[in-house]
Amino acid sequence: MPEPTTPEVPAAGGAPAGAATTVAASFAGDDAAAAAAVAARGARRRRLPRPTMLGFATTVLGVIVLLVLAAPLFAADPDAQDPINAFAGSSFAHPFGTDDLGRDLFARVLDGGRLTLLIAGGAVLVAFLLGTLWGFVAASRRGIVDELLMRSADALMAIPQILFALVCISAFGASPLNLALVVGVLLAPTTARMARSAALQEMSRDYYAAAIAYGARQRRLLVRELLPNTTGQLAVQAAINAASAIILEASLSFVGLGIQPPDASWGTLLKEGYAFLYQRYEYAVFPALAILLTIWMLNVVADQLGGRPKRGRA
Amino acid sequence: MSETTPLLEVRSLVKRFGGKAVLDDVSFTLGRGQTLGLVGESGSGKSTTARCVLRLLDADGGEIRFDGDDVRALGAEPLRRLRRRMQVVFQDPHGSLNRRQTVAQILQAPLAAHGIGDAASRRARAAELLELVGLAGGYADRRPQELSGGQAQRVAIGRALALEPEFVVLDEAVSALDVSVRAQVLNLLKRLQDELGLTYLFISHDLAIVRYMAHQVAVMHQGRIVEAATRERLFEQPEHEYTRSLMDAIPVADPEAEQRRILG
Amino acid sequence: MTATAPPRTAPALAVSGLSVELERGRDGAVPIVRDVSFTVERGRRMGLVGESGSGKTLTAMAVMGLLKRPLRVAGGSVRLGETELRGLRRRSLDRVRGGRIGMVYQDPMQSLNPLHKVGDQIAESLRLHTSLDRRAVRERVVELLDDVGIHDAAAKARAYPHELSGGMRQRAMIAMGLAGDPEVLLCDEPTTALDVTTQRRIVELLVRISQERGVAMVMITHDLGVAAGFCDDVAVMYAGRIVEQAPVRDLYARPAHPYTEALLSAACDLTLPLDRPIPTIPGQPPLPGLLAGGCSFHPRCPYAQEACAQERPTLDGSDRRRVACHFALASVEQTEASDV
Repeated sequence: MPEPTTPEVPAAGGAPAGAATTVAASFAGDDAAAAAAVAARGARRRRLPRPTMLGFATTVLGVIVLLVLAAPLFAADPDAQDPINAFAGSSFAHPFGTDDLGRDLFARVLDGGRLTLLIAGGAVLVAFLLGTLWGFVAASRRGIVDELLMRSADALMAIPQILFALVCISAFGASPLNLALVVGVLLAPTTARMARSAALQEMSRDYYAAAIAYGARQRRLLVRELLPNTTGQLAVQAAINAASAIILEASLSFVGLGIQPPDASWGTLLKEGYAFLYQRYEYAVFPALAILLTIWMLNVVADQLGGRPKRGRA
Repeated sequence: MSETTPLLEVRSLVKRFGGKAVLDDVSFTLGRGQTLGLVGESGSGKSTTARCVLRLLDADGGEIRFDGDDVRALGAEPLRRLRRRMQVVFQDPHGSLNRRQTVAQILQAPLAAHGIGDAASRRARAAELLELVGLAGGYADRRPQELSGGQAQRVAIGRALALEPEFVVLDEAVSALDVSVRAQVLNLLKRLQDELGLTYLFISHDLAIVRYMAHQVAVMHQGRIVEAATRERLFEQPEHEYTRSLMDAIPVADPEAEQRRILG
Repeated sequence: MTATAPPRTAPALAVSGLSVELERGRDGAVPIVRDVSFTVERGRRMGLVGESGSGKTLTAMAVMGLLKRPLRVAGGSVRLGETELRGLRRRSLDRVRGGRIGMVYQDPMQSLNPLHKVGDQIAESLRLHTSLDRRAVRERVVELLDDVGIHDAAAKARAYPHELSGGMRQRAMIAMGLAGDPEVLLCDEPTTALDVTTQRRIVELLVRISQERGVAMVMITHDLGVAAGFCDDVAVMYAGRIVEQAPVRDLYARPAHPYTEALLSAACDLTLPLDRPIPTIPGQPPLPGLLAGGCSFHPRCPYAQEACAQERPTLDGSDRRRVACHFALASVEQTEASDV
């Protein structure tokens, strides 16, 4: 029975020995498919490393977002100055200590996180909307339109990101909205490339041909057929984009192009903390840790989503 | 609709991929309510022919007339309207269904695409189609990956019939199915043809199945039709050598005959 | 094969009571292949016939020791000559696989490495399983390719898999399976991906090899036509069990199990009457883990009676012919001599 290849099967056989490694791959035939069907029906395996890792990372991210949003409810006022207590060490009142003006660093990191996450979220949204449309249109139009769209994506990717941001921000100003737009535009070309290749892959499948054959219009093909079947890959890209956006925002703020004081983001906090690195290293360490943890978890999410075999058959 | 003009007329069809001709002067006609079996080995061009007829691929030369309309010359909107009348069922039942939709959504999609009926009437039509393909009860809310190959193929057939087409291309539609399920689906296709007066272009590599399904048979080899005849004629007196070699190669479920042939 | 009784040594391959299950964590395990037993003597060809989900492919995987979690062998024994393969250490097993027991797959494109020349892949197998030196390996590769009917073998050895036709690739795959000079060759749907004309030639090749080299072969197939031409004995599998096993001519002429009978009548060949529906088996093959009580086939069986739902029939009969049915359609005790 020429059962469609199951996703677990690697494209190419392994060792040429023809024995052990190769065998298993090509063997995932009909019975394995049936077995997988059984496994899929609510089976719980004893060790579930992937879902657990994914669950862990999303939980951590969820807690970060929640803490950042709920900060005003429990943390100190991030703008309250207390010069006498400047550079105070970690204490119950100030878990991360205080800064040069005696402001509570814990509150400031949470407060800075709000802008950072807002900008990152906005950028992801911009990159998703722009990039998906860009990639899908390129994939479904092919020919010259495809060439033009993809070459312009290449061109955009070739511009140094900081330089691009510098020009845009000096022209339009460094408001959070502008930052989100600029970072989003910077991330759109990679998203477009990914969306295009995912779309091309789906368009070669029979269900897409069937939809053309029953007379579905372009919009329907994109929205009903392509989009739902590429969400997995788009979600991976979104997680990667979120991580990139946080880094970009931090870099921009660090060189003074991002959020301007008195507003704070993780990037500006890092920059300020860097200036006082020798007086109080925690000042720089905690925002850096916040960035590190968030990006790490986002990368775990991207890895786990990407590593998961796609549902259904290939 | 006159009974005498053929529903589908293909003349001197040519298709090239990268300079190489995969279809070379392919011509055939298909009468209403008839089945044309297009048989050949992999790479013979039979699926390419089907995709050109459906305009999923653009041919490089020749003429395709569907009920008098020049299919190759149609603009986007007339083509879309024509597609209500010609449908297709592919080989891989799971691959041809959108795995993010339920069976009911899949069956309603062609209706929605043409703005036929409202939500309620589409739902009713989906239920009707399930009944028609023998999947009554409990399947509407399943997703393709929860169906067996035979069930999924029935859904694909149901979708192809949603728009009440006159003409259905069956592109290796039973090749991926198990023996027992394949027989069920073949019987279903025959029953539907009788009940709905469908015209089939039945593409298969399997001569035995083509013999069961088709009134006319065209044998394809390397992008050309090497022999075309009525079923009776083709199977009683195959003229082309290639047709004969295909026929000889079909295994028979008879050990004595088979082993005599194999052991020489 | 007729006159000379084989010497009373162990059969080339003896599988007994083999079971495979799917682990489902806390829910326990779902049995998928159950209590499969068969033996293949030297130079004989056995067919494992069944539809998808019948367990035929998993049986072969279990024989080769290739199951991966969450699938595992739950019991039984696999003896290759005098050697018990179950419980063998990884290293010994690697020496046996590709050596004393070879394997041919459905899709050579997936089993041949596209980045290596065909000849190099066969050579690799030879280096692993023989003690030939470089030059001898090179000669042997050409010899093997020549044996499997590849013309201009020396040139084809330098080709990459994609440069060969489907039939040629399958021949190369067979050459690779033969590289270790195996006693047993397992063929998993070796002709399914091929065109009918090529299919016939590959079957002929396999039959010739088994006769010339005395290799015992097991072919896994869903195609009763292919099995008819290839096998000496056929075991029909349904829902993870062998339901009938018989010499090929007896099985086709007088199927004893209703499932075998139904499969034979649902098969399409050029003798099919055109004016009436093809006889079918109602319903769908069951999914493992969702089996009916009693005989697994009884919900689809036209002969089913009450007993069938209650008690599972055991696989009874002689060494030559066995059936698992309360109401077997043919006697399995007395069969005519029907050796090939």
